Amino acid sequence: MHAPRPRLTAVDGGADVVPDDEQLLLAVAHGDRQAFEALYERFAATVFGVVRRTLRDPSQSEEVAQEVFVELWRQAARFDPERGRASTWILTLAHRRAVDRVRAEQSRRDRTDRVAAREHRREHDEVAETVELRLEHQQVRAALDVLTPLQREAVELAYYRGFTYREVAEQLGTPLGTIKTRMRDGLIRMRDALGALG
Amino acid sequence: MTADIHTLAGAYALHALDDDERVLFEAHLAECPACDQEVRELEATAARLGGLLRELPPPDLKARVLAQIDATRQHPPVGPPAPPLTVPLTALPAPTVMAAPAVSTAPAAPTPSRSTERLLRLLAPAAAVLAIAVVGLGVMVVNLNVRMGELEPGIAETTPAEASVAALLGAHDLDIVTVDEAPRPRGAGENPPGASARVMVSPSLGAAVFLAAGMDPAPHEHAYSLWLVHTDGQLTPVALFDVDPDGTVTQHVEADLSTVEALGVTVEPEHGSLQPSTEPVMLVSLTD
Repeated sequence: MHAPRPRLTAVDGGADVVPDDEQLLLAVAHGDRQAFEALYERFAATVFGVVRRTLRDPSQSEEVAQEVFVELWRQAARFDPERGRASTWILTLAHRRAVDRVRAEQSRRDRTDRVAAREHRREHDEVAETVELRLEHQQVRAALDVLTPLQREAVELAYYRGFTYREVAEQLGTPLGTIKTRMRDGLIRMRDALGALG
Repeated sequence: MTADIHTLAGAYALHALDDDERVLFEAHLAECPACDQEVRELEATAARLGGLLRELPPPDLKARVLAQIDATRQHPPVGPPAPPLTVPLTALPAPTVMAAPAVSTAPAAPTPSRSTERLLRLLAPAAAVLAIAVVGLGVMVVNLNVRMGELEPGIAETTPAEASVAALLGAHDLDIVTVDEAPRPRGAGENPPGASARVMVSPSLGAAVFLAAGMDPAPHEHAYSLWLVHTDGQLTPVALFDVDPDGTVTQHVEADLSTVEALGVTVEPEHGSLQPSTEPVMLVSLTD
């Protein structure tokens, strides 16, 4: 989610070089608490944003966001930089946890929705955005605009609301296979657009 | 597995599969490099959707998180860069106990060493006869890998004991003792013949893990008690536990282990006892 920074040749490079997310996460895997704090500062707003959007309930969102960071600490050794970026690893963890909680709380879903609808929500624009972040957000929104409305609906219901593809199919009265395809084609189209943009 | 399973990659990356399908699809990923590659790319794409959602958490969340990680064991690091305080796997010494002549590996007719004899007398003369085998490092690593593999996929919960098993792997003085219960004397012990135990111990870390399988649940209103047996004959109770539904036990022990020569298990009233009140159902000697 950040523009690529120059790669450093060594983890203990010059003192004035800002470590990238991957270096921080690798250091966390070795018990580096300072690296953990630095990652917390970088990702707290995004992790909380993902969890809050999916779960809605504020106190549950805090609980789950806390779980996500503790899991990040605990499981950092499983991060493999060969397989993807640190931001992907962290946000996948956050989204997975939020979705798991939504499904565990399914029976309480309606009540939670009603509560959430009444309360004031802080939007992302309350969080100061760096130029880098603003660029990133512009790119992702542009990539979302590339989707067909039906693809976008399927992707957003799954990612932002935590619905399974079966639930999405039921809600939209659309065959399962069609929804599966929309989700995959939508993400592929986004991926390609981001590749072209980034 | 139908050809159509490939189309699940999108739903998988969005965490939109049911648990059953997720397990199936992950099995598919293990054998389909094309899908694995696609999933990685689509997960990265989905994560960027998440990047749009920024909302500041309450300021006190950070302090709570930091307090909790101070009490949370990490999974051990794998591969480079080498951790500063952990001995790499390849540098682990071969277990010195391998060469100890008094270790018996014959299940039917063990020849107990003096210390084992003393322990058996100490705990109870009629204790179930146990065969004691010291497992070589290679076997231990394989077992541990299997165990760590069970903790996957991805975001599995890890108990402190499981994390401790992993932490012990890096200890320079790690010792592993495996006990398979021999055909037991009639009437002795509570354990089914299939029960077995493994103890991993590192005196330098002051940590041990007691793993057992095939044990019966403790009798009604009773629990198993795990004891440290010291060289001077003192017994220290370190844990009260019952058996997990699958017959396994994982108990993590943190204690001064420098004078401990065995671990024993007895059945006690459910609130525990200061001294063993029954014959041991299991005894694991840590000395030769």
